[in-house]
Amino acid sequence: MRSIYGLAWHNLNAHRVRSLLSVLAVILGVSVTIAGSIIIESVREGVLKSDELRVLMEGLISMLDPAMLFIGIAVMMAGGFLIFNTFGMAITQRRQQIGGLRALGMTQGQVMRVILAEAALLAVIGVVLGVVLSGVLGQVMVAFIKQIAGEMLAFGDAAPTLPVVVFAAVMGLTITLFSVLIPARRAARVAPLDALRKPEAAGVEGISRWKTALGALLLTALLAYVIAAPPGEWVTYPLDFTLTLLFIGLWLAGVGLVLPALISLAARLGKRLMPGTIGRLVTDNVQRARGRTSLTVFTLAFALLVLIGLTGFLKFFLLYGIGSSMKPAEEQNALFITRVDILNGWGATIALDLDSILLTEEELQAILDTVESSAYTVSSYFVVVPEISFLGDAYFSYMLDPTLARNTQSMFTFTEGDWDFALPIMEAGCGVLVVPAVAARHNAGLGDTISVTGRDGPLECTIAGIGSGVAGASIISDTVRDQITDMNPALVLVVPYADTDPVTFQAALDALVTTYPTLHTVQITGFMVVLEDSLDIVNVSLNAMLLLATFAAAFGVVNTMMMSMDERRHEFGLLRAVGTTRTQMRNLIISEAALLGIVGGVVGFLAGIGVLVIIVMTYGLNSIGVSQNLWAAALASVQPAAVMGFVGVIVAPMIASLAAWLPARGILREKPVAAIPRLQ
Amino acid sequence: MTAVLQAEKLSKQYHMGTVTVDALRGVDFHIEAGEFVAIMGPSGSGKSTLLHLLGGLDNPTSGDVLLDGRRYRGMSDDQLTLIRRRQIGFIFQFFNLLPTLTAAENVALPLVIDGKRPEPEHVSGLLALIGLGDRHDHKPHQLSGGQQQRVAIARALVTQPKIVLADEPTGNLDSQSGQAVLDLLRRACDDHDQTIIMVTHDHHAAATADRVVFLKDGSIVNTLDMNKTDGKTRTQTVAAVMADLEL
Ligand SMILES: Nc1ncnc2c1ncn2[C@@H]1O[C@H](COP(=O)(O)OP(=O)(O)OP(=O)(O)O)[C@@H](O)[C@H]1O
Ligand SMILES: [Mg+2]
Repeated sequence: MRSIYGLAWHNLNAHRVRSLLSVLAVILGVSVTIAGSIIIESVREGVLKSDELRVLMEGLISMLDPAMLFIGIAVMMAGGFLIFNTFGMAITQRRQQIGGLRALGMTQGQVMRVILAEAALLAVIGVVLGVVLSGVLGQVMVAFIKQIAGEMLAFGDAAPTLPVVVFAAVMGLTITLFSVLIPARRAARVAPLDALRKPEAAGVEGISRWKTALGALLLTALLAYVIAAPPGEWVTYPLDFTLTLLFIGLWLAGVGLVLPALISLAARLGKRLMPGTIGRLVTDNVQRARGRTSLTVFTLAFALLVLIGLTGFLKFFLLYGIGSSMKPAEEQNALFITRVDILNGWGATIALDLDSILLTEEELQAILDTVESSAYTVSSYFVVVPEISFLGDAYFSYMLDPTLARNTQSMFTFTEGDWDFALPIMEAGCGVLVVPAVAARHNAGLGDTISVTGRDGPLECTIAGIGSGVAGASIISDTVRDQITDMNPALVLVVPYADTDPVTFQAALDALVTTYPTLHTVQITGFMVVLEDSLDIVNVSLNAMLLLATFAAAFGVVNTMMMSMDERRHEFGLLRAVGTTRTQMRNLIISEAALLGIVGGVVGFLAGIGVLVIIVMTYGLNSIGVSQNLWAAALASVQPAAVMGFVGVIVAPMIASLAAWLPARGILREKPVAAIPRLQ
Repeated sequence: MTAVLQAEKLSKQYHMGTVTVDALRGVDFHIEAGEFVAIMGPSGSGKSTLLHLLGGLDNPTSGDVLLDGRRYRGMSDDQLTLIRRRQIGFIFQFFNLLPTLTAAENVALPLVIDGKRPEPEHVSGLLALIGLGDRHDHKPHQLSGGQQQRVAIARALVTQPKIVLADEPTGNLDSQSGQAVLDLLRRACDDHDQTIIMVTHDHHAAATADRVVFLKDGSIVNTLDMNKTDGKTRTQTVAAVMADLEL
């Protein structure tokens, strides 16, 4: 050993299993983050053969980016909890040693640096392996999604990009180091005299009443507030986002504060079910070292909460938000005519390049000739105008003839302004209809002018209306078509007149499709089903990724259990020496862990539903100009999430029991004498 | 000769709820360079407390400690730590060897902490001196209690500190290992001019010192100058004073 940093290596090496688990946590976080981006890239490559097409679809696909990023961060955070707990416990256990080092002349700074060096070493190993393994994980996940998606989605080849790798690596390092900051400071504060105190296993600790009360107050107040006066009804961009984040944070804090009391409650209930000495020991044991026990349970609950929250939020935002913007068109039995056979899945686009998607002049004319007498028609150009994109800057917008758009009555629903105000503006020059979030982003109101990117430089456009467009897209008038695009329309929206006979109309459409086999008619109703199916696939895929967060949480449980088993070696030896059988010991340990697992599962389930309700009621849909009954949307979004969560309630105790049983086996195999403390 | 270490009206109180324990009550004490002092007294008389304060491991309630005339009071934690690192060697009753390091690595530890490259011969020499030349690469759990204690002594001597503070270094040892430890301390004092302060319950161990200081209820109640005591009756003299105190 050449320097004090050799101590760091020694410490890691002396506790290989816990070091390994910490490294695994970092690996998971880093590789999931990168794999997420591989999956998205692969979808991009698969759907989009040509660059022009990619530009148009980018917006839809980029909606997955934040979800994947969120999952990566969630996994990383579960890993962070694990590392925090591991180092916290290790420092409690090493108190005497650290005191000894301080007595020998190690400064506080040196102690801190040794601990940070340990963490840095773990982080670097984890990041490197995480980057290496991310490619494999990405391919496995893509293969998995291919299996469940079938024809619905197409995938191409993708490799991680440098910025993503750098981001994941930096995040891995930062979260690891951040997680050990508090434990390291605690280590530095260990007094030299602690070297002379015998380390003690933690005793049963009391609960801070005011913390429990504060937590309970926070939880009830938050829920009561968002239910009684949903901020989602009035909140606007960008406050909607900030407020939702704040509430999620408060909710998590509340859960953390009441958790110790919930564990005690569960322990007391458990005592009823498990009478006798073993029951008594179980109840006492789960109430020891509350800090770390709570954090372990919290990690489990957190993984479950994220699972429920994300699944539910996607359902809410995509189906009730963006999906509901299609409701008016659906009610009018609208359909669109396009060359893409969307009803057979997005995979159909794989064979197409841009030219084969755009309608030819001949087809356009044929469509108009067929339906003009019995329906409103709008030829829709897909364009990407960053300034009016509602998600990021790559979401598509429609370019349409404003008069035709008005006639359909289903292309745009105004929250500010109306067609009478919008039409003159849109016919005179560049007028745009945008969602509230876009207007807010430009700090602009009705009638204000914003500058957008045209083909030959900036273009001044006036906000002619604010509200919700089909699929969240903004609308730009086709008066300035030459300055925005030189492509043909990709679809024609067809809204039958109220008095059109459905049978003859359908016959006409059938005839059209027979004459032009390249064309497909897509009923909005059918399209909604496709959307829901795609959403399900996205959900399953995301859940599969989130399962890895549950893994990280499970590693945390294994680690905490292992370390407390180690700490309680003497205690176990004593129990064995006075005649407790191995079977009794095993039951004791497994019951303890299962009890914690059950609390984690149930709390995660309930807190997950709570957080989803809070997100829905707080975020609302104002930013995309949709007004919905939020309460109904919340209830509907909770259902699929609740199924996932329920699985978690059953799986969490199993994970926890297994996590405890593994380390306990080794210790119980020893003869009781091994547990008798030696001088050292 | 000048006082290398000096205690001025040193007091230490422990507050346990409403009860206050006076562990030390205004102890004045000084020790000269190269002196070997033993501290004796009944259990709870404040011996360990005094040793901890002298070593800068804890703060006194009042009074002060001076090392080479420099006051501890007002020093930062880092300054005190540097004093412990370079000028003082500790030997505790319970050894505090790092369980993951070998005997040699444990001995070299204070040098490593100081950012120095330990010379292997120096460490081997010390291990040989304590009779563990062949246990270089043994981990603490592979050593007996007495052997561990000797490693701790080698560690306290490795930086050649001016002062060695030992709290019952022979407390857990049989008489033979105990004698080896005492010889080591005596040699450190005689050959290397190191200053030794040793807390002990053992009359014979105390008789090895130059001077024995007796504590009772947190105050110094007696001092014996061993060099002025007849060599054959030293142990009995110490025992007699102790018997008096314990009455
Ligand atoms: N950390 C502490 N908190 C409270 N009281 C303490 C503490 N440390 C020591 N004391 C009290 O201070 C007094 C002196 O303790 P000290 O350890 O110095 O005695 P000692 O002379 O070393 O005894 P022994 O021979 O048993 O080791 C005792 O009454 C003890 O109870
Ligand atoms: Mg003592």
